[in-house]
Amino acid sequence: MPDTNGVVNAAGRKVPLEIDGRRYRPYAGAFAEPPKEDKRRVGPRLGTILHPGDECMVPTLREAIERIELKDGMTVSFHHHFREGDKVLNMVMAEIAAMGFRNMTIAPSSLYSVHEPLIDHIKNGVVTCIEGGSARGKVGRAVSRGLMDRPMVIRSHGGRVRAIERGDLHIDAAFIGAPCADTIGNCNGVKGPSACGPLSYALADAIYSEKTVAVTDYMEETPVIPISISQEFVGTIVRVDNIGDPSKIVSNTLRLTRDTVNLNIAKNAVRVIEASEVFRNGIRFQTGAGGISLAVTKFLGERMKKRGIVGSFGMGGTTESMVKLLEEGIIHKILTVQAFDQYAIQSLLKDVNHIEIGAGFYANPHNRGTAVNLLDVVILGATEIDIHFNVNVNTHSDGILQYPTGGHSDTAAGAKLTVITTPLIRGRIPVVVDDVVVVSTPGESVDVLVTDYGISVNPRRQDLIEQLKAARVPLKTIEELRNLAYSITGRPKKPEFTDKIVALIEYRDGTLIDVLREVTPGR
Amino acid sequence: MARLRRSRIYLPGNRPRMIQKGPLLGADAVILDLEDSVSPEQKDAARFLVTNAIKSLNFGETEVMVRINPLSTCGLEDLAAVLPAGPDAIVVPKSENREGVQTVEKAILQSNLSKRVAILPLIESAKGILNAYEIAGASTLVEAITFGGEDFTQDIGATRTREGREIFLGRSMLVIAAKAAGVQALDTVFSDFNDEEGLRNDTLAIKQMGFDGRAAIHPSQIEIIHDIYTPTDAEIRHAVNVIRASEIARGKGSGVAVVNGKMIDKPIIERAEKIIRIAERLDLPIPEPEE
Amino acid sequence: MAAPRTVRILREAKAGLDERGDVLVCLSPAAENSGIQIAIESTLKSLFGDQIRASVLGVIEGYGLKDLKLTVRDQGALDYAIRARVQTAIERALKEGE
Repeated sequence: MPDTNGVVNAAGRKVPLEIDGRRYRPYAGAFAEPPKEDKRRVGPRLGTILHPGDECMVPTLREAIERIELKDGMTVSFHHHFREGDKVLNMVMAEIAAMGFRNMTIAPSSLYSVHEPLIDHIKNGVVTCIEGGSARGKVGRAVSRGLMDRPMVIRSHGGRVRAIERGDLHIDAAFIGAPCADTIGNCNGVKGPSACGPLSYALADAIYSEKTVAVTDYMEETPVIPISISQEFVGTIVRVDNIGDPSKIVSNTLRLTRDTVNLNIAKNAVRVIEASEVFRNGIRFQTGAGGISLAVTKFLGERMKKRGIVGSFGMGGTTESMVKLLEEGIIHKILTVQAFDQYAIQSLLKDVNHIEIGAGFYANPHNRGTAVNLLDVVILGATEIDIHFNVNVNTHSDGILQYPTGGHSDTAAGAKLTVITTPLIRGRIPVVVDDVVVVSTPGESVDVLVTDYGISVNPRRQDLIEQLKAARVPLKTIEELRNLAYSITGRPKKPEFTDKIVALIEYRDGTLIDVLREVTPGR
Repeated sequence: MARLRRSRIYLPGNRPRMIQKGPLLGADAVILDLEDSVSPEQKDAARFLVTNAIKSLNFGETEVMVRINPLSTCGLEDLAAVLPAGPDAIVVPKSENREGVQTVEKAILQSNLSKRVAILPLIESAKGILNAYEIAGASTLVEAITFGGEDFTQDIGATRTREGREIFLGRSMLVIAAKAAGVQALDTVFSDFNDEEGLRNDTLAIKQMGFDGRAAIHPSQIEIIHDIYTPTDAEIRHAVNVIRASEIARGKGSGVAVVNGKMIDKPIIERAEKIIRIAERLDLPIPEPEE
Repeated sequence: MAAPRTVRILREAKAGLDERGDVLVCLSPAAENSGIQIAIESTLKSLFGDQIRASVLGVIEGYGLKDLKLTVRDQGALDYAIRARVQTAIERALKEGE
């Protein structure tokens, strides 16, 4: 029975302190829970060693699974760099199911619609728990409708690495889809037919899991260069026909939106950045790959060029438009955790100022140095944002689980200026609302909301309000934007939930920021 | 001061998503179109949609215009449907004479609205151009006359070109007629919305000719049009100095003011005042005059 | 909108476009005293189903219609568009073949 008692946390959400055998502290503030000093990072047991002449390669996936001595109830992990083009997770899980394993936990860094076969593995008892970014498509819908007895755990990129290092997420076997590998286990993601760019999300899995299997479809002479994941961590290598569908891994070109309304949102976001104190030489930013974000990257670059501002680095998911800024000398460096198009992959391969960073380097809040803390600006999206600036990126307005947190709460906490860009209304759905379905990112780490109907600044940021007013940027209160949204769409009926908790939204520091409940059947 | 009508964007009257975007495009006016963008069998649907849109949606500062069908087809039915919703202006296509405008005026006055509804005759034929002055003066509700370049070109048997030599005289005559009647002159669309440079050059040219604004067929054109029709910082600064110099000269009792070595006379002062009014309207920064 | 009066729908009529932001309305006659039957299809049904129904009913009642079948295929249309499409369908049904 899920424990429905609990306490109200600092985001105003009632959360349980104990559920599914896990003990939680309630979210207390973005930086209120430092790591315990008496805790150590976990690590894999010793014992897996290689003598001269030993082989790491096995001919089949089944032999790989046998070699790592997988057992019922273990946790297996995957990365999501192949996005909708991923074949590894389905391939491995099909084999695990065929071998008769049961009661497995899977720990993907995220799930996509392509992972729909998971639903059957869950129904058949092969998989009983998901600890992962989130679940899109039919898997998300099934989870929201109470498919699993145990709640899914949703973590940000940084939070996932933190959980792995601390042992909250213990991985028995990491299956790493490797676009390019060698016979001793070095891998990278920038070469081969299934090239995806960096392997950032898989790095912590490789280092901290008990056993690591590289699954590849393309091999080069040992050692492969560059090395994204090192042979020190990989014990087993298996070559299969095909690990991904290249057309769904990255786009050839992400096209800039022609939609004037979205372009106007992007222009206004850039206007906000330009009017703020962070617009100066050495600026560091993350923009992302959505339609509005691509336009922000372009327009920000144009304004920097015009005003003679040179940036230090761009970070995050990398696109051609970001690489262009590097090539034009508008920024000095790019730190990449994920590549969204071919152009970004090629740049990563050839440009020394474009580097791959692991998800821990990027966003783990309990590092000695985490890159998100260096950000001046981050541009993020939202499926919902409430009048306390809390952002939901995990569910649709109807309560159905849909998107991963990704680096949302990590970058929002780290950046000096966190800007949410979104249309006020999607279809008929108001985005600015009284209350979000779940809090993915707390309002205290969100500074500005830019919509097509106006701009609103978090009242915590009076300094920013002054800066924007001085630059004649017209502002509205978030309540005004909410009222506007409701006046256009009407007030939607609130989703109805049962008591059953289907997902735990962990904050990046490991506290519980919110829970998602099962959508009432028939709704 | 007359309404600012730098840009007006055509939106098809039977497409809800396009209509809803109207207030977000940044144009000074939207034209909810019942004419060319609506097929004959959907005229009734568009009429209901546009009427409901005007009643329900908040267009904010954006002026809401409706282009009805020609009075010779179903224009009067359009008027009967949309007027009770209270649009800001009616665009009357194929305007050729005083009588057409007066028919619309009568319909507006009979609808007993508490608000003023402006009439914007769309002049798009040789005959219309020759009668432009009569059309512009046909009703006190006429606030601007507007030029329809595509139909005009066809009417006179010319070919539409990027440079627009074929419409130059028509445009000039329309500007002169408008200004003689004391109303705004608004220009036609620039059809190739992928040709940003062409739009920019053409808009610069029509601004120099005396047009007060122009229509857009794609939202991406609005920003370029505004770029040209919005006073620059330098223009505003100059206007401030002109007004200051003229005030000082008046104070001294001398009729002659000089700015940057140039004599300031009445037309220059009036132009400066117009620039300041537009700057105020658009909340642009207005500097203190230089000593 | 016409003043309330009792009128009957005697033929089918459609209005609206099959595109996002719009709603496709199909109106057809129903047996006497069978009442007003409304079927709503929408991805937003759980959020806006009640409002869509209320808007549709409001327009129908404004015309004083009693017996009819109406199907609504909604693609996120705002209230004003829903009302306009229902109005159009009713006017078409009443007008055609008069």
